Amino acid sequence: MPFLQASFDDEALLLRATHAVRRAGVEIADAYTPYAVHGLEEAMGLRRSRLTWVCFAAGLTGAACAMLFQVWSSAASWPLNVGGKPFASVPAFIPVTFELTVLSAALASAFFFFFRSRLYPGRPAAPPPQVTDDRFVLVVADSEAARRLLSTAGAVSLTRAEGAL
Amino acid sequence: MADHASVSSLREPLVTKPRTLAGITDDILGQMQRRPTARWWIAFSLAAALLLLGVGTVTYEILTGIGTWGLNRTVGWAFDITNFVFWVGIGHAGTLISAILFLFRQKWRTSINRSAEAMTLFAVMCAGVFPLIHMGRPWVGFFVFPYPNDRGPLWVNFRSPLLWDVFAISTYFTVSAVFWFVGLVPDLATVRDRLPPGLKRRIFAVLAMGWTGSARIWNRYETLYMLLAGLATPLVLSVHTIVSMDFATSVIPGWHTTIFPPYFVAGAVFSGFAMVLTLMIVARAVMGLDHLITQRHLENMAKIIIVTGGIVGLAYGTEFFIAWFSGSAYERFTFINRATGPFAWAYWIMVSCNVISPQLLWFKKLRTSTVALFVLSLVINVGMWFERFVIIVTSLHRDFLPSSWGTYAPTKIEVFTLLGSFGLFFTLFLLFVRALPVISIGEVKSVLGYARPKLAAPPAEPASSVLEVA
Amino acid sequence: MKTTTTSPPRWWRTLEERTDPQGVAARHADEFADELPLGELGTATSRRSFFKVMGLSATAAMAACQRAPRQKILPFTTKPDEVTPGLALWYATACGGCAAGCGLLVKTRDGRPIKIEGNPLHPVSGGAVCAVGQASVLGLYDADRARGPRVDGRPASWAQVDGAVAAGLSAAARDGRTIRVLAPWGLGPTEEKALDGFLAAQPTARVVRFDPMGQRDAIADAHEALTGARLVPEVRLDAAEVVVGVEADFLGTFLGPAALTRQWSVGRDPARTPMLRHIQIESTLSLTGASADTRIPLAPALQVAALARLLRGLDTASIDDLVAPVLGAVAAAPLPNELGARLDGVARELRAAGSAGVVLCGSDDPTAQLLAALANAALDNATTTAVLDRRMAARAGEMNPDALAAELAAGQVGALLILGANPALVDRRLAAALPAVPFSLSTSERLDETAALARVHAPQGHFLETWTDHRPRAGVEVMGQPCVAPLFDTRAQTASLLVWSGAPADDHAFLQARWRREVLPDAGDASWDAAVRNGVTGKTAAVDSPSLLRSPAAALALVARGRDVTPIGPGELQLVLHASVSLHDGTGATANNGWLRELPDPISKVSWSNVAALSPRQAAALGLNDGDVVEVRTAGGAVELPVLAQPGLPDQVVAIAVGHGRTRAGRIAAGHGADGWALAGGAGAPVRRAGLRATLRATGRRRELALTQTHASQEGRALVRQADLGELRRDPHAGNEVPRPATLPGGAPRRTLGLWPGHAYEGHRWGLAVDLNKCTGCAACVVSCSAENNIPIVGELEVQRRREMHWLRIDRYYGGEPDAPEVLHQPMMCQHCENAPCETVCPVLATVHSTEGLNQQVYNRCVGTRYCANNCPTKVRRFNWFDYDHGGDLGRMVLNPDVVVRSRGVMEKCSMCVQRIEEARALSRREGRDLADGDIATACQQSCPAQAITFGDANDPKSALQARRAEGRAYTILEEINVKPQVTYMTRIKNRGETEHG
Repeated sequence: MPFLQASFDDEALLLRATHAVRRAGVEIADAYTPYAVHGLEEAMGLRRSRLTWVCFAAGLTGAACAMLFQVWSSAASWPLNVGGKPFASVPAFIPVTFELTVLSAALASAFFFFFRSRLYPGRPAAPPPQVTDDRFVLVVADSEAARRLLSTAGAVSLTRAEGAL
Repeated sequence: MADHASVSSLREPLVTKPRTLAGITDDILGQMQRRPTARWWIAFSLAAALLLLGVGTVTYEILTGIGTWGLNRTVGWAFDITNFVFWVGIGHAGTLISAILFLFRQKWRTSINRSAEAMTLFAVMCAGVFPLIHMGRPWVGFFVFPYPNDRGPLWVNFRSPLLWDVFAISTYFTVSAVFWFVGLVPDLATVRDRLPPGLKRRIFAVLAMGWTGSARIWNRYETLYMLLAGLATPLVLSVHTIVSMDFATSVIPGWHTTIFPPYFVAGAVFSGFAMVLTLMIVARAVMGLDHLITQRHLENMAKIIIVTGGIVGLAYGTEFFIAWFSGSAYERFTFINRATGPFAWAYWIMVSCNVISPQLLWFKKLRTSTVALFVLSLVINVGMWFERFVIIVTSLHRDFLPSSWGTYAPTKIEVFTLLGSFGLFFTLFLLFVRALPVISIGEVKSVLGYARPKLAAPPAEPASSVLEVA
Repeated sequence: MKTTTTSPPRWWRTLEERTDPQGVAARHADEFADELPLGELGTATSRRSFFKVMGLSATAAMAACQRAPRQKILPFTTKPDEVTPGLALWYATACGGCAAGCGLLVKTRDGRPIKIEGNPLHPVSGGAVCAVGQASVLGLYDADRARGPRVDGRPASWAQVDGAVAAGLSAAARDGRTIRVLAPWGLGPTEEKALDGFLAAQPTARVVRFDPMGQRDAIADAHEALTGARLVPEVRLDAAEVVVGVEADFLGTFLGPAALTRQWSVGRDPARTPMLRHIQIESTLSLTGASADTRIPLAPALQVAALARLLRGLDTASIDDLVAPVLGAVAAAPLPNELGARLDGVARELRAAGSAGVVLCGSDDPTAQLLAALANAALDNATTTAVLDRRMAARAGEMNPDALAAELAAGQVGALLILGANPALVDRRLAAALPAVPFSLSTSERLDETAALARVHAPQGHFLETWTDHRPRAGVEVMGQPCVAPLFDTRAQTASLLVWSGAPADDHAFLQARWRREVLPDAGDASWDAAVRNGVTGKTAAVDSPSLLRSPAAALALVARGRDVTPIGPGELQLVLHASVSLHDGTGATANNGWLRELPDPISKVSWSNVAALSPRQAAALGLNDGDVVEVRTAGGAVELPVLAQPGLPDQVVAIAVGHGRTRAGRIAAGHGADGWALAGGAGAPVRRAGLRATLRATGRRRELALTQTHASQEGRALVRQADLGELRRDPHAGNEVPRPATLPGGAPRRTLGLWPGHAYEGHRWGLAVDLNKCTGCAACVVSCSAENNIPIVGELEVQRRREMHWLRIDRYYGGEPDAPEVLHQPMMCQHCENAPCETVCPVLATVHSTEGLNQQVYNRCVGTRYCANNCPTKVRRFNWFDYDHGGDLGRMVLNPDVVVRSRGVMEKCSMCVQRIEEARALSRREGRDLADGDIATACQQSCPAQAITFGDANDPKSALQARRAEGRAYTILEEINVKPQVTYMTRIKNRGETEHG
């Protein structure tokens, strides 16, 4: 279906327009901004990301693996008397466990972010002009109402495009 | 939204000169697109020369033996581990600024966090060199990794603080790098879209991972950034805690000290911020970014230095008190020996640089004087290097058995190696300021309107007629 | 072994070598003689060239090595004779390290002697070996030994040598000049017999007996004056209750230190009543003085006076006809009152001890020796503690070096044969006269200062290459069988003497003949084999002591030869030249031995070089600090040496160890220290080792001392613990109370405190006990450890950098006043802590605990972080800072194949001789029995002359180790940090007598 691109030069106008079209029940495809505009996600009605759960799970896994491996390697695989300490010197294993927790949590989160956002090195991208610089672009389903709304919302330009980006 | 709409009279703008969004982009990218200045070339050649010196000496040392250093049967560590702890400490401010200040919504961080994070990465690289080259047999250094091997399989000693270091430092480096890169992606896209077609643009296109600025991704991105910040914060505290355990878990008087973890972390932040100051002051002077890296940034960092400097001073005092209070003859001797023994000079350099000099920052006049801050930041870094030297050498050179007491003096080789590490650090940093946006464009733009009256009402007249696209 | 060189070697590299081994060997010899980087060593910059030096010219040696000895030599054990690869063969022999002739067991692997230990069957040394004896095996592989005979400075064949000798001797006879044979003390009976043969063949020949330190000469003179027999008493301290040493370092360098230390340590057992009381009167702080109960510093000028005072205090009624005139004739300097009083106290103690008392005098002044001999006569100890036996007397008509010097000056000597000794170094009169002697010859093992001046150099081999024997006391004969074929083209001294007296050159046959005739009860092969196998035969015979002459004439004549004893004024200094533990013959015969040079002096802790030692007060008065180079000048000459402030020295004394600074000992010796003999007498004047006036002049230069210990105070830490005998009798824990952990309120002893439950040690649990009361600090254990464990020699520069590699060091602490310090020794090796701090911190598990309680170091796992060494409370771990050379192919022959040679960058330390533990375990398995207490002796334990070290199984309640640990004197160091060392120390006990208190 055809889309309408309205570009603004100020985040306030973008926000206002977004609220307007949403109220008017126009379907919002996406918005493009040079930086994270606060309040835009509410305006567009986006859900909170579930990345936090990935992070939590990965952290737990990292912790478990680290502690288990340390205990296994020092107490089961090849137990050695080191400085008179027990084979499984659990307190001494905590630092490495902690580090691996953080490592796996961080790496997993980042990986899933890029994966979910389908971002990868060299991915071709043709964002609307200047959105990475000083333009704020709102993309909505093309319709008379939308045009009227957006042209009065202070868009510096309106463009019709076939299909979302 | 609310804070954005209303203007508080209490707040000062974070970006001092009025700038348009495009203006910000120009300011920051201009740095990369303009040809390097003469000053940059001078700085770079100096740094590169030092780096070469370092590479040469380290090669010689590895070919000949640790005997080329001044170490002996009594003092087994000196410059090597001092430099290691020093650089790890430097590496703390970056992540601290970007993570902790981010969590505390300290928006003033936005213009310094990028370069501070870069500094962290480079400092950790410098730090990482030393544990490797201080080994008697660096070519079997891989023994420290718990990989399945044909020796049994013989694993590693997870009780050893040195092994904790291996994990802590590598984790810290990886996570910091990820954090840094994630922060870079939107700016890389900005650069990509700014550049004329060509190789450079293609490179940035690859690095930018196809970033479009889509609000859906921004939404997810914010979460990720928050998560990474949340993970990096305990991490940064853990790293120097673990480094301090190299000493705290030993039996040597002067090392075997339970207050080391907080003491070392405070010291790390202390020296880290001093190093950030040094770099920022140079950067804004050389690159004319003083409307982005403002007086206020410098002053805030100065305040943090006062606090951490105070903690460090307190730690010094506590050590002495405990040495006396413990009733251990060895402990007492070690600390008296520190202040009055053969290495007293080092001890008093440390005290005057780390405890006395920061007190000057109580005076606003000095706190706001770029020159004074620059000098103090250098002084503090000298002091923090000596702190590590004092802890390591004075504790070792006279321990339990007087029969094995000895002394230590560095050789040229060790001094050159230290210089070389500075060479590595500055070479990387100077390349960074040429190759990448030194300031987070996106974040600065987000705070551009900060504490400024909102834009006037939108123009009423309808937009230009819709262009039809085939 | 000349015969063998003609047969082709069993192994050869080239056809040419097979057909003409001598030619190849000779060429090699020359080649190496040319290529050596001579004189490089001293310079501080040539550490690497130093490493290279110890053994160039390997191929020649290897070629020589392959020749099997032709005579039959027998292993000590009853194992089959032929070498089993991987198994050591032990041969009993006699030590040639000094005149004492201690019994040795030589460990050989694949034909290479690699380790020397004591032969417990030897009735005198009883298994004790000193540091020099331990190190002599390295001397065998000394690349700087002579590789063949020389005539007029050019390499020659033995035939040419013998021709030159015959010509020289007949020329001397023709010109009516005399023939003199200068021989050292302590030649074996067979050598003496060969010498007799030579004297018989050369009627004009006389023997000059030469002792570099002049002690035996003076003692013999004294006893000749009193008894008519040139005798050196055999001291038996095991029978003594009070021993008074006057300038006699009998635990370190005097007579037979190893045997005397063994006897001394027996007497020092606090359980023995009475415990041996040891009083030392000396002008240097010697090893012996350091171990004495009472030590009286005394300047040489007062020595005779002090001895006279002692003699006066004894009961001389029976011999007054001798004592009175002598005391009348002796010109004695006045003694300070309180010193006199102390000496009277000493005399009273001696008197009380009677024939269980003994006075040992180490002076080279005949008068002093005369007084000492009279004191012993007064104590009537000629059959008990200072045994005089007529059968041990030297041959009549022997001359002393002064007489020879006179003849040389008069140009009467036509031929001078010097057997092994190096007199030109000591007596510059000989050095000056030697070139003028028509025919001169030296048999020393290297081209030393004397051989270089002699026309002919007919080198004898190392004692491990030749048949020798010894007679330590009447009735006891020690067999010295060779353990390896000569490495170089050398010839036994006995063989040479035989040839030169016209007999066949077969020293082995000659020795065997003498033994079968004189020694062995039944001349059967069995008893011969037994003698060779056990290395000793016969038993201590009843003493046949000579009676005193009734006329004092000879004694008075000797006193008349005495020296000026005018007291020196304040501020004046007297020179004392003394032998040191590592160079204990005084001429530095062992100066080219890396183990001994790197061995720090037990007292000063200076290695490699000698120093000019001054009392701290004197040094301060002269404004000199340690390391300031001064020029020491006497009538004899001058040398430049760094100063060391040595506590315990009399203020008037400057003490210098001799044997250092040699120019012709070899490349390891070169450039270390200065030659004190240059001060000893000078042109025309007799050699005088003590009492010469000396002046010091600061040069303004400084020289870093190679000190292995720079801090002398214990800082009040209870490391070495000491108590008086009286206190010990009252309280078995005397001196050992603090800081024995008290029991906790709960009643649990504090040492059981710990975060962890710890590990159980079933089976064996190894441990050591070191009795500080017996340890004299003689450092034999240090050398033994170096030999056993392939410990590299790092050189003076690296020692200055505090990087010596010794696994076992001896800590030396001073206590009390700098004038009369308490000297405390503590052997310090890896303590094998149960809670070893080093293990916890190693990231790669390169050091872990064994199930038998050993702290193990895994070299091939070590990455060299040095964290373990930093965390070691006793700092006993040693790091390989460089790749250390073990002396090239020749030096490497001494390496112990059972111990890994460590590479650069790894940590190493005491393993409690784990290779010996495993060897003993394997043996016991083969014999199908369990390891028994005593099966295993660590290298340090086996070699300890004082038997201060006990190794054993802590899980065996009946073991000697547990017995020692059960004593009240037992303690471990650093109990308060709960590392639980497995090395136990035992409190040092002082037996203070009335001299101390009254």
